[in-house]
Amino acid sequence: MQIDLLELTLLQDINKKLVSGYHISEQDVQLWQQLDQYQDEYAALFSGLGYRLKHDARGYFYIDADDSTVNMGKISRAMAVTIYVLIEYYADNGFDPLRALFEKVITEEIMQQVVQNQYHLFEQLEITSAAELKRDVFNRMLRNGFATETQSFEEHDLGQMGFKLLAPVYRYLDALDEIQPHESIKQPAPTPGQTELTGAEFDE
Amino acid sequence: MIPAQRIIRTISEHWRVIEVIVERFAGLSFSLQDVQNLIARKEPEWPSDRVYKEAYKLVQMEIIIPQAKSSHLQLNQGVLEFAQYLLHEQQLGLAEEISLLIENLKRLADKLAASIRQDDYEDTRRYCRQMDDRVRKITKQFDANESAIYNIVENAKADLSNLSLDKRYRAVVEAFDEYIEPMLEMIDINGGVKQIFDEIEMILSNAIARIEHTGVMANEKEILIQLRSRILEMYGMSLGNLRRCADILMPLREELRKNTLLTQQVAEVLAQFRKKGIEQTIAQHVVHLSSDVQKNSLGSANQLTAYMAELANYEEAQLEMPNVSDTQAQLPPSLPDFDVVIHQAKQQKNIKNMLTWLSDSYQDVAPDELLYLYQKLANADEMSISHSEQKETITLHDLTVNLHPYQAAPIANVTK
Repeated sequence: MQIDLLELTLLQDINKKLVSGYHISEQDVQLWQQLDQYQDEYAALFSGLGYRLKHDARGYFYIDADDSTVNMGKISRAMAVTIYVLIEYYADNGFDPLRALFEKVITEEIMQQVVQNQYHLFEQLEITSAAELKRDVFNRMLRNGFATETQSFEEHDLGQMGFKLLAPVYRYLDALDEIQPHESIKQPAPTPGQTELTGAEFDE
Repeated sequence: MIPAQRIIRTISEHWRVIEVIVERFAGLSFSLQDVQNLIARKEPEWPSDRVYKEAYKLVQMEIIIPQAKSSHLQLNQGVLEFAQYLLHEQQLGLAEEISLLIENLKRLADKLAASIRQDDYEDTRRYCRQMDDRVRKITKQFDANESAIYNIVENAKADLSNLSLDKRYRAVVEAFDEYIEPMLEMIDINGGVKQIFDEIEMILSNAIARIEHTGVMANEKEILIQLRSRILEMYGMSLGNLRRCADILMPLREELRKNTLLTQQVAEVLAQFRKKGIEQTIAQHVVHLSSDVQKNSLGSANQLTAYMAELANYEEAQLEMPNVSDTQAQLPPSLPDFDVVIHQAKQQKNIKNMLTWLSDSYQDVAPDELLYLYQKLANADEMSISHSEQKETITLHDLTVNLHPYQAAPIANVTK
């Protein structure tokens, strides 16, 4: 494949962002347009470097890594917990969780409530306050393109700064399917020929 | 009487099976065949007689006990409670249990006050111990009940069946009405329990003050202080505990909560996080993020593959070898054989200055190689080596050395 590097004007920027774990979504208009236009070229270029450039139809590009560094793994776990806890929170408050997840602005107040409600989970992540949740998770989400910082438009906290989740969060929702519920012993069909022992024998 | 160690060892061997029994049957009965099936699934390669023996061993150890007048089995209550505690699968207790314990605590406190008035330190200690035990039991109950309520809520949330909301949340509503409400009433600031706690605290504080004044039973003071702080802590804990329980029950009870497939999945995953730990649950399925560190290293597998692919396509370019005539003949390494050097040195009998001798005898040799030889000669034990008295300056090609040169004499000379 012929790749004209001159056409890939934002290569340096895109490379830097994607490789460091950033998810480019439609919000990043310039980068997204460039990637969208030269998707094959970028994919070929990245695969030559040993990276898998993935495009998700829900509107984001990212580099698919086979494994994370220890630190990134920890961050990713914290993000997963936060996203799932938010879904719980919205559902409990009578919102449609999926819509609320992407529409609502997560203010300090919401952070406080989720940390309070799920203290036993956040405790495992060594997060015990809204400030820590903001520092350890939401700021990290900003850096990885999972969220943007914006003002809240709701009446009760109008103008407050908060975080709004972006499309790449779907990666965590997809992961839900993979986390197998109940790792109990699987139930294959009983092997034929297995001795049938009844209670009577046991009584002896 | 079965030795405790053997029971524990058997439990540990068959923990996975016990875990499933607790999850699946809880307090219900099951047959030995069920146990065998579980063991067989866990260890598919075991022959059936071994499976039977292992299942029977659980019975022998009284981990599983037969039900009265039936061939059915149930988990030993002790093991069941222990396992439920470890697996966070506790059942919701009764509000009355806690209130009884608290009343009992009050009675004990009254008795304690009396025994302190009579300076009866034996009774004081006994009542302290008993009160401590009650506090422990109450704390345990609160913990177990919180865990149980989480279970109820999680089950209701993760329920995939299309039950009517009424049915789905029946357990939740029951838990709320039968446990949370009476408990809240009891624990409430104006409720009876707060008063009891205040009274107990008063009794203990008075007792401590009395000991401080009179000095009688000074040894018991520490226990009393400890007891008082534990009771205070317990009260705070119980409030927080109930608040959290009410918080998670409320949205379900008010039927405020939205249920979708997503929330069911999330509820189930969060329940696992709570019971098994976050790390264990998503270790395999964590979303991987690329990171700066990986940028600079050929770390991950696909990067290595890409590198190998490059190698596979590698084509070797013809290397132009230079003509022999084009180059000047390479000088052979000029370092003389050390054996030859030492042989020659020995023939010289006495050498006044070894370095000059070396540089005179081997004029082609480069200075660093000369120095190497010099140093090697100096360490040779075939000759007697000593420093010269005078400092000398020696020039080797482009190098100037300033030193007390070694002198050499054959060993024989010295001994004479």
